[in-house]
Amino acid sequence: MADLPAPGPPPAAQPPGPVDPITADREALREPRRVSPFGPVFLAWAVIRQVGFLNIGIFTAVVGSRNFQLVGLVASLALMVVGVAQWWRFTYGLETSDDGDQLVTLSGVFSRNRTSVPLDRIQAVSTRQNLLHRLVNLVEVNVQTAGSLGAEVQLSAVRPVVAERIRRLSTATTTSGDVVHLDAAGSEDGRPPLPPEAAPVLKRSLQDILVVAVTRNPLVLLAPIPLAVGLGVEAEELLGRFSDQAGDLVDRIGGSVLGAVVGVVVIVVLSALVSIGFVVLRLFDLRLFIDGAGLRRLSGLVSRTEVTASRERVQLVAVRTNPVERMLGLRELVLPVAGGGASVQIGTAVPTSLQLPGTRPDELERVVELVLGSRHDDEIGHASTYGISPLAVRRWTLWGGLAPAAIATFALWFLFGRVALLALLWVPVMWVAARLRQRSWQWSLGPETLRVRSGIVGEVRRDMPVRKTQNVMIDQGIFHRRHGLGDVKVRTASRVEMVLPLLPLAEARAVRGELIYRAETDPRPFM
Amino acid sequence: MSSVPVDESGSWNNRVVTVDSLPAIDQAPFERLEPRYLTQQRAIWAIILGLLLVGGITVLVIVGAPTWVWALVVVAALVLFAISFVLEGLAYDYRGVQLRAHDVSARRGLIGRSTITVPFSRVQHVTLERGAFDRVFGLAQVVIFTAGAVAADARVKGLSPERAERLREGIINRSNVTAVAANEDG
Repeated sequence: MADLPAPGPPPAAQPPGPVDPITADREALREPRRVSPFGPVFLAWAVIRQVGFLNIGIFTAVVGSRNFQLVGLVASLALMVVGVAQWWRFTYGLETSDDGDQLVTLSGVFSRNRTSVPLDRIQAVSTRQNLLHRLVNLVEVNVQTAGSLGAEVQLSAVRPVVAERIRRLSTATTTSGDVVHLDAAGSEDGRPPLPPEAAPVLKRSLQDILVVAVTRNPLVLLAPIPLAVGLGVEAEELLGRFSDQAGDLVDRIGGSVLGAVVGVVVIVVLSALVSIGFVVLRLFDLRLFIDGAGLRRLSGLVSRTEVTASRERVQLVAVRTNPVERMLGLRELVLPVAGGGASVQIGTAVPTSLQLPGTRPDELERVVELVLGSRHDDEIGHASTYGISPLAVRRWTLWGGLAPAAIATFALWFLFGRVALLALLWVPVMWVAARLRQRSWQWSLGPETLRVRSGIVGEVRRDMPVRKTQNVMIDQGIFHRRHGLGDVKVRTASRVEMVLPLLPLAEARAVRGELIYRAETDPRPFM
Repeated sequence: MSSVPVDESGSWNNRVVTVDSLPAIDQAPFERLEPRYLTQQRAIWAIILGLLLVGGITVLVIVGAPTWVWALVVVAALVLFAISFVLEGLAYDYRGVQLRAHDVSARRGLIGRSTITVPFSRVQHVTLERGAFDRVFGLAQVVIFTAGAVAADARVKGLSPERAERLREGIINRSNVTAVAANEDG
């Protein structure tokens, strides 16, 4: 199996002689090129997968049975010709002008489309290798700029070194040009400078990933039950020979109920096993590197993805812990990045965050230091902590407790009569849960960071540098208006927003004023 | 990305700001929208309910329903229109836009209400939209986008085209998008 090149200077970066690697990269990309001829094949495969084998089968059966074979054949041929023509007309290359280097792509069979992306505007170069890509050692490259939600430029199948070259050139341009780029140098908020060469930050072994997979699918731990029951039935059969007829009858009735329970458990365990399998496939060999361009995350067993993001592109740090993970000293770290999501082509989507499950405390500290600065924890730790309105208990009890309990009681009344009133016991349960939840909600606003944390058994914590604020919204529902409350929603350039729910309206307005003021006066870039 | 407005001292600093000293958005008045916008919203309701009424009457004619059913349907449509007429009026009173030196706020809502504030330094681009209904009533919408991954950030409906144009210009002149926009056009 071919693999992605290890991050770091590839062979092309050290030619013998005086040619510096940047010039070499520039020369190598100068000539406009096509992507590999495998490109249209991969695209066809992605289309087939997207449409679904079953649909294609049904369609073929229906169309084929009515002597429409010729139409189908001509249509497929036409699609193939269009695909090949598109591949032929798509070229990419580097152009140098007075404004600096630009990555230029030309595309379109009948129309001519030209996309040029100045290298200093490139924010992230991510790659992906599906199984087919890996067989021939090619990668799909997605080039993102600040403005783009999806990929600005997409090269469907190129050699890995091309991605490496674009990445190196864009980093070199951004750090040497006049664009303010805090990534290259350290900054006054205590973030260490980025190392020139790739340094590993975290690495997950197969065992770690299995632990993560099991903590996410704890139902797999029910597996011993069907096994035990299976053994039990064996033993019972031996005993059963000596029991009398009446005992047999009881056994049979008990046995069928037991069989149903075991069947359900087996299904639950099998589905948990399947999702564990998918988690392992996706997270296999998860690694996070840090280099001159920022953060770089690799993972995957069959299809490998590599996501890069400059650290300014990271909008906030989200840490999730469930009780099992807490016992094992693991955290789920998510770094939502600016942009991402929208897919340009079928079967591709640029990731919206760097997902780092199973992170240990020391690794977490390192990543937080790189992204938010070393003084971050101290700073936010000393800021005053605020809660949310105690009226939240009433609202959550109404919505999550009383409303469903009333509906359930009404529905069950016709089946069970007065017993249905037991459903109302749900209300005190939810009241207790709402109370705990309201008490667990905390937020604090430090000089640099907005922190929100919540959770009864587990914990969700989000730390956002205040300068990443894009806009602030105060939302009021009918309950909010009656009690003079407001939800504050702070949006970043990522998909994740910070929500401070159910604050007294005056407090909500004060927070908004503060956040907006900081966003307006802080000249540092938000990505 | 670096041409964000700086505070009075000319450079970035971290001086203490008390919350009470900040200018409050909700104490300053919001600019109201064109009265034509209210007419437009009511007209849209009238059209929707009118179509439903015509459809309902057609069905009744086909079925051959007695007269009192017809009357009931017509009265129901009229009552619904009256309700929407009043509610749209209330919603119109709350809708508005407020431009400050460094940010723009838009508010809307009837039962649930929301106010969104976008600092000019975060504006990525601004578009001016005129749908078919907007053109009929001589209205325009201004849509403000930031780098947020959620589609549009703030949408100001119901402005006259001239006012929309001025709002757009005002936002663009106060934010740093002009350089980027010029670059992308060129």
